[in-house]
Amino acid sequence: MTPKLRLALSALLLLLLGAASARRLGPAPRLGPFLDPVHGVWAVAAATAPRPGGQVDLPGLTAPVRVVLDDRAVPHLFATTELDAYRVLGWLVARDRLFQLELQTRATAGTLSELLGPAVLAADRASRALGLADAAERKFAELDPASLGARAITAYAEGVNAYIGGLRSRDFPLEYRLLDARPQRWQPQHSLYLFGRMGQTLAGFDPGLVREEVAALVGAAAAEAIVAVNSPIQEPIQPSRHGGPREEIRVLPPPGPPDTARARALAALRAVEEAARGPRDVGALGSNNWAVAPVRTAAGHALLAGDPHLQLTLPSIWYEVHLSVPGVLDVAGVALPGAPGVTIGFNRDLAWTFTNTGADVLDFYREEVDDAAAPRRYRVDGTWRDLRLKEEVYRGPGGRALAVDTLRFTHRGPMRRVGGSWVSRRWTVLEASAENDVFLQAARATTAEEWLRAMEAYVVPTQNGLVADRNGTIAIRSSGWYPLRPGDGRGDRIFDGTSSAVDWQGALPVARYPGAVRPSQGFLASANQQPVDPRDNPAYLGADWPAPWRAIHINRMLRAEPAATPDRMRAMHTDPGSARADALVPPFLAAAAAQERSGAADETLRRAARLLGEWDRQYDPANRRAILFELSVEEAFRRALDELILPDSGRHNPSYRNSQLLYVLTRDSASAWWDDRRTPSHRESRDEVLAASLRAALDTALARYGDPDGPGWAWGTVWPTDIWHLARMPALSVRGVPVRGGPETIAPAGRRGTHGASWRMVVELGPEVRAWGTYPGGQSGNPLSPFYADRIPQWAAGGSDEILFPRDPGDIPPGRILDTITFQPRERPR
Amino acid sequence: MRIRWEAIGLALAMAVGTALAGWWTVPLVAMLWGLRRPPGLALVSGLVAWSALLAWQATRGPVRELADRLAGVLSIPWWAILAAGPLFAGLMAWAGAELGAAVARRRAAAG
Repeated sequence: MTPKLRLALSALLLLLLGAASARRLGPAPRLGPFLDPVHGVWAVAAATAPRPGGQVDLPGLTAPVRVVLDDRAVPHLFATTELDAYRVLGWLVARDRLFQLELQTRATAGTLSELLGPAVLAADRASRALGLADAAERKFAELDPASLGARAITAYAEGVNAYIGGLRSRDFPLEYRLLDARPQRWQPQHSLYLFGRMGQTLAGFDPGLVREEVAALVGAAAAEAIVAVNSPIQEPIQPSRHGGPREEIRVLPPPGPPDTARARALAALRAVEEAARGPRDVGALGSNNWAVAPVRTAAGHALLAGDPHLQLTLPSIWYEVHLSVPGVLDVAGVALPGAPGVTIGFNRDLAWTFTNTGADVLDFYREEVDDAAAPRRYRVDGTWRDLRLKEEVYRGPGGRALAVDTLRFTHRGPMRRVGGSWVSRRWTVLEASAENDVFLQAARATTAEEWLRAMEAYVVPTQNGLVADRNGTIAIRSSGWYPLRPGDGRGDRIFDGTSSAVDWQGALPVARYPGAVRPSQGFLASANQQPVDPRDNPAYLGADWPAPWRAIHINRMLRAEPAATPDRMRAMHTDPGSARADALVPPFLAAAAAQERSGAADETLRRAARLLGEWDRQYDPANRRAILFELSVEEAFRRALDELILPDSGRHNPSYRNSQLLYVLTRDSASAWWDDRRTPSHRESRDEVLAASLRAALDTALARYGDPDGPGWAWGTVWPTDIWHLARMPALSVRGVPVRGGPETIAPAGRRGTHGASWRMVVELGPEVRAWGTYPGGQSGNPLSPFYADRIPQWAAGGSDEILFPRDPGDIPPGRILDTITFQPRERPR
Repeated sequence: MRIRWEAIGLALAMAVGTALAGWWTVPLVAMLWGLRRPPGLALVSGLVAWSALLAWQATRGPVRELADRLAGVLSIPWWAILAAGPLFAGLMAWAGAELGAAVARRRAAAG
C-alpha cells in the first residue's frame, strides 16, 4: 500500500469512527463513549459489584439516618424525622430504580420521544392529550406547602436529586448507556405524575363508551344487559344479607341490527383511549384482598392478605422498604418508586391493602364547537364559551422539535377530535386531590377506625381499602370520589355536552361508600367485583363489573376455613382452583352428553368430552387439561357472541369477553344468541354450539400442542407469563414464566400475560406483627444485579419470604445484613 | 525486543489516557507516536490497551454477563460486543498514527 493510500484510508477511518463517536447514528449510542472500557458501558459491570455503603453526606438532613439493607436488599431506614426518612428513601430509590423513575415520569408527561426518539411520538401525543401532566402541575400548584404531603414529596425529590448530583457518567445505569442519555432531575410534582399514571391505569375505563359501542353492534336493549349496571351474579365486597353468591339472571335480549358506522366511530374513540394505556383484558386483570377476624383464625389474631395485580415489569412496579421514625412512624411494605411512603403494608398496629374498585369516574361529552377543524369555542346552554388552548411541543433526543399540538380544554376537561366530532372528558383523575397526603396519614394510623378516617379524603382511583388491626378489627371500604350525576345518576353513556344539566353535581358522601366494619361472618374479601349488592345500596357506582369468580372462590375457601393460619393465607394467593371453571365446565359436558343422546356426537366430541371430564379444574403449571377448557371458552365466545365482533377487526373487544355473559347464556338453551348468522336455514341451539366449540377446541389443541398427555398440553407451557423490561428489551426481560393460575383464578393470567400479582403480602396482627411478602422482580433496577429478578422463581411457585420488621438496627441478625449506610447531614451548597 | 517494549509503553500510554480522559486520547496518543515511530505498532497497542482495560473491568464486575445482556439487546454475539471495543481502539490508533506519520513525512520533505 502506498503512503498516500494509507493516509487516505486512515483519514477516512478516523473521520468515520470520529463521527460515529461524536454523534448518534440512528438509535445506536455514540461509539467511542459507549465502547470506552473505563467510562463507557463496561463501567456498568463495576457499578454492579457490591460496594460497602459506608457514609453518605446528604444535604437537608436534620440528623443522621442509618440504613440497614437486609439479605433481600430491603432497606430498613432508621431516622429521627419523617422528612429525613423520605429524603433518604428518595436517594435509595434513585440508586436502585433511576431509569424507572425517569421512564414512568416521561410516559405520563408525554416526553418519551426526548429519550427514545420519534418512534414513541404517537404515545406521547396520546399521553399529553389525556391532560395528566397538566393536572399534576395544577395539583402541585394548589398543594398547601405546609402539608405533610407537599413537604414529603419535596424532601423525596431532594434525595433523588442528591443521588443524581453525585453520579459520575460512569455510574449511569445501563439503559442510559444504551440510549446515550443523562438522567433528568426529579421535580417534586413528578410524584404527582406517578399518581396520575396510576389513575390512568386503574380508573381509565368508561363503561359508557363500552356500552355505546355494544349498543351500536347489537342494539340498546341487548347492550343494557351485556354492559350491565348490576352483575348477574352477586358476591359483593360489602357482605350481603344473602350470605353467599346470589344470581339474578335475566334473559339476554336478542341481538338487534348493527349500526356499523356508529360502531366504527366509537371504536375510533376507544382506540384513541387505548393508545395511551393499552387495551383492557378482563381475563388477565384482577386484584384480591381478604382479611379474617380473630374468631376464625387458629392463633386468635386478625389476618390480612393483600394481592394487588398490576402490569408486571422489570424492575417491578413496587419497591420494598421499612421506615422507622421513633414516636411517629414505623411502617413496612411496598412503595411506588417516585412516591414517598409505603402504599401497601403494615405498621406495629395494623395492616392495609387495596384492590381496584373500578368505579365509573370518567365521562365523555360530545361538544358543539365553532370550527370543526380548529375550534376556539364550544357551546353550552346556547352560549359560546372559550376553550382553554395549550400548545404542546414534542421534541426528539437532540431537542429538535418533532411535532406541535394544540390541546383544548372545556370546563369539563381535555377535548379531542375523534372522527368528525369533538369529545371532551371529565375524569376524577384530573380533579383536585392529594393522594400522597392521604397515604402518608393512613400509614400512621393505629386502629382500623383511624385508618378509615384518614382514607375519607381519598379521591382517585377508587380503591377497596382493606384494613385489619391488632385489636381484632377487620374493615373494608370502597373509597374514592364517586361522581353524582343528574337524572338517574348513571354514567354509562356518552353525554350531550351542549347542556350543563349533564354536568357532575358533587360526590357521593363517604357514609354511602360500600364497606363493612367487623362483619358478623368474620371475614372480608374483595376481588374487583361489584362492591355492594344493589338490593342493599342501589347507588350507581359503575357498570360492566368483572365477573365475581375470584371473589366466589376466595369466599368459598374462607367460609370453609374455621381456623385460618398465615400459611393457609399464603397458599391461597396461588390457589389454582376456579369458580369460573366450576360454573362453565358442566354446560360443556352437558352439551356433549345431549349431542350423544340425540345421535349427533362423533368420535372427536366424545374424546373432547372425556378429556374435559378428566380435568380437576385446577390451573397448575403441569395440568394438561386446562388448555382444552380455555380453547373451548374462546370458541364459544366466538360462535355465540359473533354479533359482538368488531367491524373491520374480526375480533371481540376484550372488554366484552366477560365470562358472566357466557354463563348467563348457558342458562338459556333457546337464546337467539346461539344462532349462527352464517347458517340462515338452521337455528343452532346452545348444546350444538357448545358441543361444536368443544370439538373445535380439541382439534385446535391437537394441532398446536400434540398428544393430550404430552408436555405440549402442560398449562405452564401454553399459558406462561412474560415479565418485560420497562423499555420492552427482550434481553432484559424474563419471559415464559409458568404460573399457578389462569383466567379469573385468584392469580389470574392471560395468555402470554403481562399482568399479574404485583405484590403478595400476608400479615398476622398478633402481639408482634409478622408478615410475609414477595413480588415478581427484585429490589434493583440494574439487570446485572443479583437482586434484579431474584424473586421471580419464588413468586411463580407461590412462595413468599418472612419480612423483617426490626424495632432498631440491632434486631436484624448479623447474618442477614447485606450492607449498612449512614447518611450524614451536610450543608446545602450556597 | 525494543519494539516490544515500545508497543507496551504505547499501550500503557493509551490505557492511562483512556482512564484519565476518555476514548479520544487513543488516536491522539497514536498520532503523537506516529510522528516519530512506525505507525503499524499503534494498532496492536490500541488493541492491547483496551483489552487490558476490559480485563481490569472484569475483575471489578460481571463483564461477561453484561456482554450477554448487551448481545441480547443489540442482537449480536457476545464475543462480538466484547471484541468491538479493542478493535475500535486498534483502528483509531492505527489511523491516528498514520496521520502522525504523514505529518512527519511532510515535515521531513519540507525540511
